[in-house]
Amino acid sequence: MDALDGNAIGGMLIDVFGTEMTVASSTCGTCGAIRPVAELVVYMQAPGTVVRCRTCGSVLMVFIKAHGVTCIVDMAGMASLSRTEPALSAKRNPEQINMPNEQTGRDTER
Amino acid sequence: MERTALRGGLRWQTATVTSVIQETASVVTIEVDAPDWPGHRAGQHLEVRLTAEDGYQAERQYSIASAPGEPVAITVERLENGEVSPYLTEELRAGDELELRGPIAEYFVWEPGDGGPLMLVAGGSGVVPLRSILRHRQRTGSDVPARLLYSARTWPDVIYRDELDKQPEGVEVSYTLTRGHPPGWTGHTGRINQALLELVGWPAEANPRVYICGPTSFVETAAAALVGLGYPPERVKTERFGATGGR
Repeated sequence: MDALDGNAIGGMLIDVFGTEMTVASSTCGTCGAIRPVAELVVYMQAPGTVVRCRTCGSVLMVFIKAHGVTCIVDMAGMASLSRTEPALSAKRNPEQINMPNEQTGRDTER
Repeated sequence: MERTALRGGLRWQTATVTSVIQETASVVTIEVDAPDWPGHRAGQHLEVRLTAEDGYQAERQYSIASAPGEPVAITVERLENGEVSPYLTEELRAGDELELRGPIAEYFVWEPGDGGPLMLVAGGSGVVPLRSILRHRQRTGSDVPARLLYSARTWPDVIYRDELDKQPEGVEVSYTLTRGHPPGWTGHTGRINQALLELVGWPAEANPRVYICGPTSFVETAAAALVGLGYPPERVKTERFGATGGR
């Protein structure tokens, strides 16, 4: 099974966040690696879509899409996700979405 | 959800197929009339949704093959035992309706203002978003120098061959064929590697802007080779596609 990259989840990210997020900056909660979402490792053949850190392999996000509805069911591995590069929108301020840290003990490895 | 609704999100829209062009034995370009299309940037993709009579829906992503300002077009390769691509490549006709939404993803995009020189590296149908970039370059009158290295299995598998033959000044196209070549072939052969990229690419000192699109292993080989040649990693943009991703 070939891994894809974060470009492939552009549509699902818009479903969830309502805006373009492949240019957003992600921080891995495990190793601290920072990179654009487009460069994350994405597995789309699992029952859900699994997004992993390209540096340490930790699970950052898990999406499920069913009956036309996209949900993020797990985002515990992501320390932060921020859109600092406004693209077509007129938005000027970076948007920061902070992830709660206290969700430990959940095994997201498949 | 309210926030999503306020921002509009991505709505499915119905487009009408205006033409289906056979590019190779297994690849077609589908051009559509999409009245609600908000416009796209060179390198973006879109999603296509097919609905079966029983209500089952399948969605796939395809890179947009046309330049910004041109009618929306996608180029689709038929995958054996595919769920969607056999319909798109063999059944779909001009006048048919197609559900789509987009444009999606702004990472793998190029604008003339981004500058260059451009190093475009395509594996198979990974050439599709790079064609959009080359068309955008031409339509905007950009003089950014561009080089395309296109790896295909065989010569008949090369998509957009006529168009790539007729590139304007400032664009150089090189091919490498990985599974056999025609008699008298003077282009490159074999899989992409660092030596080939060094031969046909820009020197790292030119500070090239790189776009690599293809199957995962192709993209990773090309990206690692270029970074190994001294290309700045932050100027190397990659897009991987696979059988389920559809691109």
